[in-house]
Amino acid sequence: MMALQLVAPLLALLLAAPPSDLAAAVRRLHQEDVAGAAPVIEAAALARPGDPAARSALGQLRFFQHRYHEAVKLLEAGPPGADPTGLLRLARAASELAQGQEVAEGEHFVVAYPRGKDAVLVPYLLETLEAQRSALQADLGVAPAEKVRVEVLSSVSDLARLSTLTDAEIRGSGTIALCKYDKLMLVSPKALFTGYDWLDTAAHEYVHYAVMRKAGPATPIWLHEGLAKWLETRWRGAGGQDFSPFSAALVRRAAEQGKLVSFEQMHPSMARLPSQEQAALAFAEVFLAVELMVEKGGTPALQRILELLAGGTAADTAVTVTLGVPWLDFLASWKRHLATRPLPRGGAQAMQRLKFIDDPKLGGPWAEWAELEDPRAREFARLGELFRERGRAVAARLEYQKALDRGGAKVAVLANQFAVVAMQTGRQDEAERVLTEALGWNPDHAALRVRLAKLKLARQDWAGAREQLTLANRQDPLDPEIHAGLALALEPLGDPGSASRERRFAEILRQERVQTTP
Amino acid sequence: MLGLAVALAVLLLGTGLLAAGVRPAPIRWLALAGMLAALGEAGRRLWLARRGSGSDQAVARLVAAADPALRSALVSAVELDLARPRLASSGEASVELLDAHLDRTALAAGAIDLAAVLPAGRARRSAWVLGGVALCWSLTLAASHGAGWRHAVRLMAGDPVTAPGTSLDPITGDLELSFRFPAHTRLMPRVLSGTGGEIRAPRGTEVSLRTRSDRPVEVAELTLLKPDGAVAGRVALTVGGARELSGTLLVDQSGSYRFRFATARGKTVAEGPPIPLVVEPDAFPTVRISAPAAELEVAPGATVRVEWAAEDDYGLAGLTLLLRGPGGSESRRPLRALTGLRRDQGGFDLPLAAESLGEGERLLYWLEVEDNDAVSGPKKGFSATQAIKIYSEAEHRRAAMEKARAAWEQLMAHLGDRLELQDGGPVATPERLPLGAALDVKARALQLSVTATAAGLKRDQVAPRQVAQALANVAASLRTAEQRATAVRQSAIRAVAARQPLTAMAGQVAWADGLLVAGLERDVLYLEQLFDKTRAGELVRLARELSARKRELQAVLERLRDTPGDAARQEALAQLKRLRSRMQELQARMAETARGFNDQHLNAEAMAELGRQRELDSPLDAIEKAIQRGDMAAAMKSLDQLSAQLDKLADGLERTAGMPDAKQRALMREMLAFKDQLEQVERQQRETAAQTEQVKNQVRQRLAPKLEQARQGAAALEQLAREARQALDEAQPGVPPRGGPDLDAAREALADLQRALALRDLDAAGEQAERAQGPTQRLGTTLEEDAALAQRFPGATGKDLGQLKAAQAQVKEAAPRIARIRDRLAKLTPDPRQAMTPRDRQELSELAGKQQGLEQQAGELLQRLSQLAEKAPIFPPQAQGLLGESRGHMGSAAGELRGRNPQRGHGEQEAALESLGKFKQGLEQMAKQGAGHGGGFPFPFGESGSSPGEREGDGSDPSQQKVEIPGAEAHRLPEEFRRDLLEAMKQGVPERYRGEVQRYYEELVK
Repeated sequence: MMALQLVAPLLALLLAAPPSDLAAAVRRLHQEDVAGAAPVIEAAALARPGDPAARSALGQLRFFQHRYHEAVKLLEAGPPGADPTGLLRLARAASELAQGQEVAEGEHFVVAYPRGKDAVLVPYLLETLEAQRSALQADLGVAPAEKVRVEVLSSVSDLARLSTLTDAEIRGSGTIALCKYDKLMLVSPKALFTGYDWLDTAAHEYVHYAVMRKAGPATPIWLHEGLAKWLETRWRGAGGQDFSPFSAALVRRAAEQGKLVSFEQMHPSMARLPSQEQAALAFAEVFLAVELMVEKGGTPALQRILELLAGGTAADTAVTVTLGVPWLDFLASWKRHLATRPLPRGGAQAMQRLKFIDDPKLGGPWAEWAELEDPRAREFARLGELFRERGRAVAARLEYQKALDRGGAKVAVLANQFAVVAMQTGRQDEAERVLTEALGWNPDHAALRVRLAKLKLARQDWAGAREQLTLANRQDPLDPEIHAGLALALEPLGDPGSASRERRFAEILRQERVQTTP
Repeated sequence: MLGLAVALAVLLLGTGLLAAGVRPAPIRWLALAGMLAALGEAGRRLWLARRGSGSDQAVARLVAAADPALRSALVSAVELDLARPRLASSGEASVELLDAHLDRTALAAGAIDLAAVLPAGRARRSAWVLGGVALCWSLTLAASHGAGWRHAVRLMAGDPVTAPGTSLDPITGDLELSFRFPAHTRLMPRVLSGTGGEIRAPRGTEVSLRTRSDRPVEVAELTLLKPDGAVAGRVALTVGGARELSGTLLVDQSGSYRFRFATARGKTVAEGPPIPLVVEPDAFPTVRISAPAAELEVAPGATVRVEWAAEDDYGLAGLTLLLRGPGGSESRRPLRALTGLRRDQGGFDLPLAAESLGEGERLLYWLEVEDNDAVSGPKKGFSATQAIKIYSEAEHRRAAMEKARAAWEQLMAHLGDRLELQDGGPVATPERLPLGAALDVKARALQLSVTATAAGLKRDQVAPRQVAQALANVAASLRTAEQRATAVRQSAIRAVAARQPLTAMAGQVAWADGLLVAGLERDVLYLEQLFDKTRAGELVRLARELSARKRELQAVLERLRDTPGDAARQEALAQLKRLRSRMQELQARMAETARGFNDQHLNAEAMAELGRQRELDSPLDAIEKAIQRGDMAAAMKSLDQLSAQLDKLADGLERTAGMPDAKQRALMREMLAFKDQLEQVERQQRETAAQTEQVKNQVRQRLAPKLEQARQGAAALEQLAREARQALDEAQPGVPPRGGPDLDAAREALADLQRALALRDLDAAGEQAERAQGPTQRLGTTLEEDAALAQRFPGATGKDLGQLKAAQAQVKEAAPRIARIRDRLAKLTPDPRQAMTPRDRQELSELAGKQQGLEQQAGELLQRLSQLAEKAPIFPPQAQGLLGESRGHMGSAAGELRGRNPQRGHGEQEAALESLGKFKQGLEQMAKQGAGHGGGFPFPFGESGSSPGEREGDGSDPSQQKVEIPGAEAHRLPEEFRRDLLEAMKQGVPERYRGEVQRYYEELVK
């Protein structure tokens, strides 16, 4: 093995890689072609150990290989100005974070995660990514052979430290994960008040990774994001599932008003868009672009386009060739599609804004209640809160009911609190009705699903409870109640192994909660 | 046994005699002799008994003594049985015959009655006696707690042998003792003759003894003994003439002393008994603080006068004040050197400004006094520890707010009860009507409780008055709603009793309950926001105080920079510690205040500012470290950082805390618009009234001659006015508090009416009669309502039913009289129409139109007021009454003007303006209070109609008001007042009052 390690760079050196090849290799490295760049850089570093450029290149390579400690040493030794891409800062941050991380390996993925309760995420993450890998192999014809590194980060600040995005850009655009430097980076759901669709997000980032592998850096950002958005649900079924009524309405209104985000504006990254609204609009646009492609050419069209891109064809040409439609015609039909696509039946009815746990403006519970637009409903809800705090469940239910009568179950926190007191006062049917209605408006609200699952568990509707809890887990996996509930439901459903795992997770999360509660 | 019993009895008797104090020697010998005799007799009897049963033959003789034949056979059988082995081996006799003899004798012996032969009665009696004596011993030992056993041992073993030569009797004659006391006691020397020698004196006293021995002695001395009998020392005595003894001892410790005579070679000849020597204790000095009280609350920077009194048995030396500040460090301040007096008293001023105490901080103080003991060293006495607390307006305000919150919680609980009743199904059913009625009673009690709380808060100088007013409004609105609900429900209950259908009633009951619940919902939400608004103000104030503390820290650091050194550094660190403690306390209080905040009332930025409090610790740490290493530049830099953070915190909170929500801002805007409209109406009304007055004056001038005739007829009305006023005076005891304002208004108007009649001013009289009529009618209605209420809920109105009925009867007497006066005046007053020109008529017609328009505007205002009142309890019920009254006068004025009566029309216009003015005053206060922050918060309607005795004010933030704190000298008259009084005394006084006034002034200035 040692001999092989020595021989390979020597062979590369014998191939007489000139210094210009080193620069090219570094460029390839930054285009995420690590496998292509590595032999050249390794050989150069071995042949010219005293060459600062070679050492710097090796340092950069080590960073892309996720050998952060070595990367820091090599990059620190470089002359001033030898790190124009700022990799030393990133390598230092990554090295520092790695000290507090555990690593779990799957068949095709390596997950590095912060010590502690994030361990709960690992099995779901590995299952999801493996499923997504299989799905992408079928759809795009790509299945990276190497183990892909996934880094779970504790906070948005950590993501900012490990990327070129600023904290403000991340919060502003709602960016929560990235595929860069030959790895996936994902902020843990614990960094948000009510979690987020973390598994779809991981799958989304993996699409980027696969597209990079398939088509290289020539893929434009709109197509990258469109494919990722459309395919992010492939791990759990068909693509293009996750298009909400809100997104449809948003994009339709923007199309009508001529306020669409152009493909050029999306460059270089969706994360650079100024607000979460703009980002949501952009994602909706590119989603519908890919949806249109699939409508016209089926899923194989996607693979074909990527193949053409890999061959150096421009994106518009690739689309034209694949679909047999001129690019401008495609654009016209896409804009029509934006305005005329039927609204989806289910899904979020409102902007799903990410709520970061360290955002001082989201300090109090009223931040949630403020979503009740009707002031009178808000007042009734406040009265409900006051009564609930005083243990007057009946009075609280009546006040919440008044708020619901005015505002409906659109606001999740209201529906949830109503359900709590309704269940306390023996009105399970009312609780279920309101929760079901609220989930229609807020399908991603984990707390509602947990509440509904509790009702189902009480009725011994094990399958129903499992369904709700599984959906909740896709959103807020660090809620111990989800895992405790799953443990209860899985046992009678004949899956004692999973029940045991869930029980263990519930225990881990409860202990963490006890330790972190002052 | 009997002998043993006798011996024990003798022992017991001897022990008893010894215990009784009988001389031990004879008793001991007699007892021992008696015991020996008893034991000897017992031994003799035992020997005799032993001898009588010592062998088998003796036993045989004994048991068969009564039958000589058997006795012989039995004795021979015993003897033969003993000899049987010898006889059997020698063959001297037949063994068979021997055995037959033995068997026969044994058979005969079996018939012997052993109980008869050996009677047990004597032995049993002896045992009883022994048992009795043993019992007596046991009881004696138990009762004497060991003394009995000691005396028994004394009896048996004798008393311990005493030291040879010691006498229990004195070996000297009477003693003469001369005392020379220590100087600090200031006691005069003293000589005691003919004493037994007992010495009682303070430590350090020199005692000279003189006495005469009972024998000629060669050497004599005093042996000083400790209390435990050990020798403490010896004092040689001078022997004069073989028997005259003298010497001197120094009193040092308590114990005793005894005389000892010895030969020249030192052999003890005799020792006298111990004579007590007692050191009289030197008591600890005492000091007490007679003023101020043990716990005093004063304004910051006040000077407290402290009065003290000290005492010692010999003499006082020094007085020191000890202080312990909030940081826990103690300081001593010598007050004065006392000049050895046994008692002293005085006072001193304790200025608190130097202590740098913050609001709510406590300074502990006490006095230390020393005596002048020069022998054992000075002893110290201490007064009780007293405390001075710096008055904290914030604390008092917090306490007031707690009361308000408690009332709010009651309202919440009642609302909860109402909702729960509604949840159970229709409320107007025979089964559930009583439940509702019970809640109505509770509502009544709650209303009274909230009213009382509001009244208490109004009396409190520092309680936020808007909270008090809001609670009063809430209570009043609850009362109205409860009365409505009660009336409807009682009707329904009566219908149930009469077996009538409830269908029609059900809706009304639900409607009334719904209104009550809606009102409570509105009120608790408004109050919550008002409370949070108040708490937000408190947060800002705390943040400002926190910021102010940094200036103290700055002063400390500057002192340290100017005069460096270890002592200064230690002082700076101590002050830093104290400041830090205070800042932490303030931060904790801020956190406590912010807790439970409805965060829609404290916006996100303010919440974020509060979250930044924790960041303050870091610069404080840095300052401390910098001081410790003497780096003043770094300390000042960290202080700048702290300063900036504190200012930012205070500014941020001030800018954002407690901003009203959108609804309240909208309500405030509506309020201001309403106020503008009201002012417009008032301005127009004033103009119209001025124009009417002009017309009135013109007509009046033309009517002057006729008026003069009418005045003559007014005299008869004076009696009616007097009667009406008298009736109202008599009604007063039965008028409930809420009828008070109407009663006062009616009486005032009647008094004016009387004056107007006396002056024959018919216009004024007519106006006053008009003015008196409204309040009198309202008073009548109030009394009727309260009488009905008192019938249902005795005690609910504060007046009993009888009082209310009596007052109602008096008001019924007054009302028709007032109406009659008004009517008569109307007839007497000449018809102004007769004196009017066409132009006057035209003007009046136009004025009537204008007046009608104003009345309509007032109606719109009233409607808007009602809508506003539904949104928040910012208006008391009387506010609508005032506006309604004004509108009524406007309508009446329009009618009068249409009827060509400028006189009455103008009177109605003036009355309308008066009501409007009162109402506007309340609105102005509300606007003033609400204009503070952002879009403004609608505070409760001002107290324009507040009853006499209630606090007056401009409605500004109570924290701005100076509060008078009673100090230690509060019971004394201020010097200025005393001077004023003395000046007043110099001024002339009527002769006949001179003595009384003199005494009065003297009493005042005592």
